[in-house]
Amino acid sequence: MERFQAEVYGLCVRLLRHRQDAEDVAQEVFLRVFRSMRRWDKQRPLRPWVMGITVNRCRTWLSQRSRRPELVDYLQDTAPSRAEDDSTELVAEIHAALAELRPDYRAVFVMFHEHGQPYEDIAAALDRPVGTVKTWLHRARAELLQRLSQRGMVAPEGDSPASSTPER
Amino acid sequence: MTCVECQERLQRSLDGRPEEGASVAGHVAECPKCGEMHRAANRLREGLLHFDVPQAPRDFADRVVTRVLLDRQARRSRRQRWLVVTALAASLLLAVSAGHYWFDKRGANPTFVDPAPLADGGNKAPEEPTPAPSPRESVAEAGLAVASLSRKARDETVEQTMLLWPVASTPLSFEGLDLQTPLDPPSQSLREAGQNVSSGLEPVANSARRAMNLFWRDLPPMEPTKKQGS
Repeated sequence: MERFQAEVYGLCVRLLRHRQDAEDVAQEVFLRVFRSMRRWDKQRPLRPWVMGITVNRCRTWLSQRSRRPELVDYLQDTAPSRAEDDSTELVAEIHAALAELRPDYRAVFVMFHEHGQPYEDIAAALDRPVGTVKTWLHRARAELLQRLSQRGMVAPEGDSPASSTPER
Repeated sequence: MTCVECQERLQRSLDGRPEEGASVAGHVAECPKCGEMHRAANRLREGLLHFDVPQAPRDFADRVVTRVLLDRQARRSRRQRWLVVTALAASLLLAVSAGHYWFDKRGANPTFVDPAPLADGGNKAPEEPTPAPSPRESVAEAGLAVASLSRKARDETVEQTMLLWPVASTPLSFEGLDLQTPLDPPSQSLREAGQNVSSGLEPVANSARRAMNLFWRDLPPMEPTKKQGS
């Protein structure tokens, strides 16, 4: 459980945007993992299986929550601010842009960029083809870039490094 | 380089794959839209570096373990309850089936039939009581039975008569019989029978008498015995 605790909880927080909900869902995820451990095929990797359960539970939770009154998103208020520059604002903007994405796009983005999972693992977790996952990730990035650009978070044209080394 | 190719390069660089071929710098410098996207991509990379991974509460693992244990306990008790209910249902079903089978056998087997339905005459199922006949029907049934019995008696009489008729039709003959001599009275017959028995036993009696005489002759004469002290 310690091995996947941070990833499961982090994905729940990103997808649900509510810490208490994320904690409840993460507990439910581990409950289901322990319940279904006998059915798990040991030939397959454990991580995509656990993350697949997490995404499915978050989807269910989101669909149930959509029928309830909207919860207050306080993640931005509770997020730690460490940087002295505008990185806090930048992170908040990225979070806000993420919140507007489709849950599938958001899940793919978080699993790829935050958890560093390869396309194959994400595809296995979401039970979708790798091509679909790539398409979703590209669309998610395009929407995020569009949003950052519209919100004025892009540096002026003069000091833009046209090609930079990819970082992840 | 086209804008599409430039966007593909951009996505590839965000994937973390190394750039191949010509640099996009020239196109980005000329195309303001692609330049904007590239600058936004750099900002996104910068923001991702500052992303904080959400940390679960410290007692998260303990809470999960507690919940898992409670869930296991609840499931176990639920399974036991289900087993008990299933066993009760199976027992009930078995009892009902056995009862049904027993009652069926009782209805089909004459040895299980109650005396009262037997007296009414037959293997009729007790749960189907026949309605009592009306007096008119009873009288009609009795008349038919009497007529049938009379017809049967008549037929048997005719058959026996037909068998005896040849014997009865021959004339009786008394030739060779002494019809003039009277029959012996019974006392005379008994006396003759006694005389015959005594004549038959006479040699036996004579032999027995002779044997007794010889026995008495061979016996020694008896002397009187003296009393001691006298």
